[in-house]
Amino acid sequence: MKKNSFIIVSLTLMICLASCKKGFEEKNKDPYAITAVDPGLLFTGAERNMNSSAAGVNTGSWDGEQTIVQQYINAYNAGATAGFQFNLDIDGYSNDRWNGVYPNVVKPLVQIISVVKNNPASKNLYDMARIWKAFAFMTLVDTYGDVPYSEAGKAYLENISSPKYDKMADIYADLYTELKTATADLSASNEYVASDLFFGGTAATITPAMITAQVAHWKKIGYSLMLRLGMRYSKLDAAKAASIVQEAFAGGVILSNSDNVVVKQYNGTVPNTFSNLQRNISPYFYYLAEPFVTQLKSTSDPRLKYIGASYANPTTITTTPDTTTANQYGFPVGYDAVSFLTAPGSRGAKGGGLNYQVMVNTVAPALFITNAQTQLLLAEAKFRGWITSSTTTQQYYEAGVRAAMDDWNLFPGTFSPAVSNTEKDNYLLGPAVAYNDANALKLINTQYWICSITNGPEGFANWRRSGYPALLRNTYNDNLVPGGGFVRRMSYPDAEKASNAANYSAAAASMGGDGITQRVFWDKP
Amino acid sequence: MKQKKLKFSLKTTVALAVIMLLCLNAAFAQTSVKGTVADADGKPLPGVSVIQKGTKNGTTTDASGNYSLVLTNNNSVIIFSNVGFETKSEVVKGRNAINIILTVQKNTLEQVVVTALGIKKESRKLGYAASTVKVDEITQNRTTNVMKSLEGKVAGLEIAPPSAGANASNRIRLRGQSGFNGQTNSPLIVINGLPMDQGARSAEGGGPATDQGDNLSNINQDDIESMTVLKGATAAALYGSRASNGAIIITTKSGAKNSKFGVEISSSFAADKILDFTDYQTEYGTGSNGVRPSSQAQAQSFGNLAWGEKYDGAPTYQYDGVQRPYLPDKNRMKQFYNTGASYTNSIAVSGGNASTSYRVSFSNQDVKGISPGNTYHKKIFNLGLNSKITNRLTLQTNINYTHEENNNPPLVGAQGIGFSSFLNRIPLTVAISTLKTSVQNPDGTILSTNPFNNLLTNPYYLIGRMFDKTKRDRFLGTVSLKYDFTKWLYLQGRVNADLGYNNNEANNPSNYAPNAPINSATGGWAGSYGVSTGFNKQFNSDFLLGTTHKIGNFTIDVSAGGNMYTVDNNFSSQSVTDFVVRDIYSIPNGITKTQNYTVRRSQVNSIYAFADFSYKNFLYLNITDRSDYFSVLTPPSSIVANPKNSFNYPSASASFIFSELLPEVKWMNYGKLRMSYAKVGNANGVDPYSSQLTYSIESQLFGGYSVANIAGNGSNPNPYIIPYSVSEKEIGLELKTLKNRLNFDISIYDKRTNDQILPINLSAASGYTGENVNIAKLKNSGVEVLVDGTPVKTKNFSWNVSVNGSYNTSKVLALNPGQTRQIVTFFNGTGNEFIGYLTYDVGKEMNQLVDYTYLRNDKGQVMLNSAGGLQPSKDMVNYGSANYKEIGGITNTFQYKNLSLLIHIDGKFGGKVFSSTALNGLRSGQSQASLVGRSGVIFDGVLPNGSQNTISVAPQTFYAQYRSQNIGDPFVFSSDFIKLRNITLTYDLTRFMSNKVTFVKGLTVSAYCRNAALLMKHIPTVDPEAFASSSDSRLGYEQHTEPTTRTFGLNLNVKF
Repeated sequence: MKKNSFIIVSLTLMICLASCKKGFEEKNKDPYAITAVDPGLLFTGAERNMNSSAAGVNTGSWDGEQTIVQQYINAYNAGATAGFQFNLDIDGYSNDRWNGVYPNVVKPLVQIISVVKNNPASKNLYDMARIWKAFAFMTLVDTYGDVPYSEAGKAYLENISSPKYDKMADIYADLYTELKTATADLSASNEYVASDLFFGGTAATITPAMITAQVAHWKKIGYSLMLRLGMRYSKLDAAKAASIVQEAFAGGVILSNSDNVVVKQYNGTVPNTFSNLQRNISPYFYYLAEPFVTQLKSTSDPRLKYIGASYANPTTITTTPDTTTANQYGFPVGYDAVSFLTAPGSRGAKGGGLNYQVMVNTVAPALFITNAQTQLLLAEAKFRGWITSSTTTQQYYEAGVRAAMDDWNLFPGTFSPAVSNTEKDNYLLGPAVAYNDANALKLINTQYWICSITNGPEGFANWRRSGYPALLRNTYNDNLVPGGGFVRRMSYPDAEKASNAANYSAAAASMGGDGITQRVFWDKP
Repeated sequence: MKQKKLKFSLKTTVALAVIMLLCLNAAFAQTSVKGTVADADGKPLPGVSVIQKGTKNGTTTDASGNYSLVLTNNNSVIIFSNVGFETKSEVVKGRNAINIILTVQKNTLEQVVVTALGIKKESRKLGYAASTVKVDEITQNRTTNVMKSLEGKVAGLEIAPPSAGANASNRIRLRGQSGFNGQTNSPLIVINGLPMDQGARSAEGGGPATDQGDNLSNINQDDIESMTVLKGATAAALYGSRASNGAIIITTKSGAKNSKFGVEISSSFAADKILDFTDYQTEYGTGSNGVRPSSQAQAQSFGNLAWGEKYDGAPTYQYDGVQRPYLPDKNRMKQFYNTGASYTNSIAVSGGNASTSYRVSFSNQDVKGISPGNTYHKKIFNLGLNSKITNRLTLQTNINYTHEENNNPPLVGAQGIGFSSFLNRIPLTVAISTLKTSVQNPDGTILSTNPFNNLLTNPYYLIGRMFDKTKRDRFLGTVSLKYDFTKWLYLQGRVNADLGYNNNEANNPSNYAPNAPINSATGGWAGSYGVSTGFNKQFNSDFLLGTTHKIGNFTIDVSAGGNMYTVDNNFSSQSVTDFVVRDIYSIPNGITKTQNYTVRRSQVNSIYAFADFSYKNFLYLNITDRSDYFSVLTPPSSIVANPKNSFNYPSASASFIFSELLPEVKWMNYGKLRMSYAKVGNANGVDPYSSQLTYSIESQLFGGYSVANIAGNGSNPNPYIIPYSVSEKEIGLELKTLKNRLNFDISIYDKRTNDQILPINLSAASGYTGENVNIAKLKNSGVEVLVDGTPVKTKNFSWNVSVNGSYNTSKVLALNPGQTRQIVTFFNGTGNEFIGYLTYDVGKEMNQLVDYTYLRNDKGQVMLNSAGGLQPSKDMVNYGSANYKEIGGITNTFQYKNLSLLIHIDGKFGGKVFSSTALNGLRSGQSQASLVGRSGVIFDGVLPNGSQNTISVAPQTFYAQYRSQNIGDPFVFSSDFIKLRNITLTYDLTRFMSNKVTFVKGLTVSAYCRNAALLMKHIPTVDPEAFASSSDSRLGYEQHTEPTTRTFGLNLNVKF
């Protein structure tokens, strides 16, 4: 009897041990790690990381889009540093946006959305995250074409480690729906999002007026992105473009610089990595491209002094540079640092560099969606007759140019105001700048090109969409002829070939190859 | 402090000597005694030695086992001894006839082995390989860390002690490396039922770091009662997820029942002399491009180059601006390194009555390392208590408390840093005496000796300025209660505690900057300082219910049990860089401060059962099964609702004593065939919380906003990770022949690791750039052989030879699909060394050394560039594996009366190594190899135009190309060696003591020499065993470690 009872006790003990798993989940939770966080704080990071990330991953570099649209040149030709200016597909420049945006913007946004989706107290945050995610994916599609969308950023949440690529036109269609519903859904009767880097901020008491203002701002962001998205269809499907543009315009877009979506302030700990990358390597090799400098120089553009600069010693960028217009030269497209020395009309090794005190300052702002862009897009929409408005094409055009000049007020080392009204007036009177209907599209989109100098993806996309400015093709290596002689997209990161092979191959096949002359769907030849 | 310890041992020695002398003056009175000596079965034993204790008076038994001895004293003690049998002593007490039965010695025939869960089993019942370590060899050939003395002793057990200071850890591998780098690949250590990881706190090398020893330094050799090496997975299967690498089971002494109060004292001293294998050229001195320095500034800028002129004794500038004769200092290593010394004293008291036995011991060890400033102190207190509380209830308690202090262990070998690196890299032109006296500038800053001054730092600047102090306390406790319900049913419950406290304090003085800029950005005095403390708490509780039944010829033992293992560790550290006041190393004086606090908690619950079936006395079957439930495999239920967090590990083994069926085969005393299969797993690669998504908050506000990010370095916290599994098949044969004078033990095994945890790259679009997955496969297979023979055995002399050898290959069977190579270490990148890669290549032996070779044409000629310079091959080549394939040792034991001599030779074969010492020696003009082509290197090869090369390149320029072009050929060597590992001379003085002095029960003196001679090696300038780390990430990379040593030691053991 006694024996039996001991056996029973032992068996009970065994069963208990086996079932003692209840505490395991709690035990496997790091008590000193942050396992839950206000999703709003993640949103702040996701907003900022579109341009810069604390992890040091870059979301693009000057060697990317700015090089393709001939604003910038890294003249040093040595294998891995030779990129688009030499008509080469170099993974290091193509993969920046992919490797930066997915882990540092898409992943946190997916995480936020999964957390706040059904939380009635976070409805506005939910909608803002959707709008910002739409912005991130518009950039990704414009850069690469087909990209992982529906399965992206879900390695942890849904165990999807090899996300499939979605068709770019389908993604765009969904982005339209997302922008439409999320924007409409934003409401002043929902919560205030203090952690919104653009239009948030903490306050002792949150007033209804603050919520109203924030919601109004974000509705403008949503509709401005919808305007941008609609305009992308202009070559592909004018009717569709017109319809979306009309809808966006009716909803209310950004029409004031105070509505601009800007990351205004970087500090020493988290500098503007887009700038920092440039400064930290070897500024000696970096130049503005000749077509860009020529455009600014020939029109006596008051912005040139903030963009270009000439340093006595190009490796020492901490000294005050020469910014006089006459002394700025671009680096001719189609040469490298060596062949340039023997190029026709060569000025020797001296070229015009970037202004590291202003434009490429480590505390320079990052402008994502601006009044200038919106006004110029509206100018084109008005010119094409897609919107009904009392404002004329010329008025939109001139407002766009003035807004772009005012963007420089946000940069360090500029005058106050950065560009005076007199300078703006004089500039707009210039023969190559003054509005005329005959050259409307050229004028509008050239200004878009100029004002996108620090926003590579937007400058590249609009140039492909509009065809302006009409750049001469770069004949260095001259191996891009099937695509019209220009880079039309960036190739997928090489790592995808190994880490996501099947999906990568399918996407490449669907696009007719993973080259840099393939076109995204809206970029109709 | 040190002197006091020394005095203690001297005093003891003197006292013992006096006692001995007294004992030898014995009184005489005559009588005689006769009788028969037989074994346990009553068979008479011939040739048994019969000696009157304390005299030279003795005889041997005849063919019928009879003896007759005339005694000098009718109250003598007679000692009966025979090889293979327990020695017995009898007090005559006036008797004339004494018949004696000698029992067979434990470790020869019916050996009892401590197996998994501490269960003692007769060796014949085991279906797997288990080796018992000869404990007296460990105590006589004493090493600071007990495992070091097992090198080359046990077939299949690879011990590799890095040359990393007085208290270095060891690389311990049983049957190869079963997991990839990053896993715990050392066997499980079980001390009195307390399972623990080896816990090697070794540094990887490649950066400034020190080896801080391992958990085995908690063991005092004198306390060990038995030590069993369970080599295969089957043997250790009952330890479940921690057993994939086998286990080493250590039991400490608890005294003997019915024994009188006894005291045992041992005292030992050992001296370490460095083995200097450096063989640098002594023809050319400091200089560059064939020119000697003509100023102090030049001497400083050429300080690391021996590309100067021929030594001629002419006054030449040195780095301190003094002109000295241009001559080499040929003996720098021996001048720089000290003679190490270690003093160990231990005392143990033990005793027991009918129901209780106990043993309490205390030992103290003081070690002075060969590296200036390196000291190590250790105190161990050990208690063993075994008590039968009632007829049915038994209590067993073991407590071990260790206090260690480890000061200034040498930096492990790395490019640039460390004393050894400096001495190997700076040309012999600069003498030790100069380095010692010319240290500082007048303002106290370092006097520059070479252009890489902040890495290749004059050791005499660092001695006294740089410190690294570790204090460690460890408590190991086991309490076990066993209750016997009946003769055939028992229940045992046991609780183990393992508590540890570590504290470390270390600095980097200014002017020394292995990984931080010398010029601090914060404006203070450069340097760094840090303190860290860790507290480790592990509990292990188990119970076991066991029964035995005998039914006819069958015996069935069935047991079932459960175990709960919890880990609760925390670690905090504070460090500062840059100081307000120079040379004061404290946290408040620091300008930039960093803090860290981490906690690790985990739990494993297990249930297990096992059954032993015996048929008669020759057929045995053993089946075990265990299930482990892991907390670390329990991700948040919001991510994985029903996680697979439990795994099952079965094993089966069988043993067949075929000799029992062949009694007519006279030459065979014992023959056993065994075979086994087991599947075990290892969750060591899965860290606590590794499936938990965590966040980080940026330490500074961003424009007034707090920013959060998803934490981790881009690696997905994969919640689906599982333990990898190891399945092992083994077959073995044991033979004892010719009256146990020639014995064999052979094992063949095949061990496969599946679901090996491998970090893979992910598409960044998934949100992460990588994750750990269960994917790779690995195979270890091999043979282990033990041959033990006694070629000579006479009355007074015996010679025993024990040969052990093993052959093991570790093959990588699969990586991630499509992946053919996994880079473990890129020495030129991750470690900031200069040459090569350590890789896992599919289909190849594990741990490949890989690098570029010479570019060659179809004819095999080296293709040079148009300047006669080197070009690397298009693809990298495999130079071979860093793993040794054959490891073995031969132990010869000669016994003449009471004097025994042990000679142990061991060797390792079949491995390759990259020698960074050879690389640095060649490119800096230090090595003998750099003497080739001093007037210009015309390399044997063809120029781009196809013609034979005739271009002469300056040697300094030419040899630098090996590094810049990453060509590994001249720096790859075989790491094979044969060493005369150990000579031990032991003299048992007991018999010289008078039987009047009954209170002295034993007196033994032994002397030994360890690393007596290196009999064979291929790598120049260094000892093939002089490597940096006991881990798996830098195998096959030799890099200026501390020199190895030869040890002379003396032990004295007295039993009262």
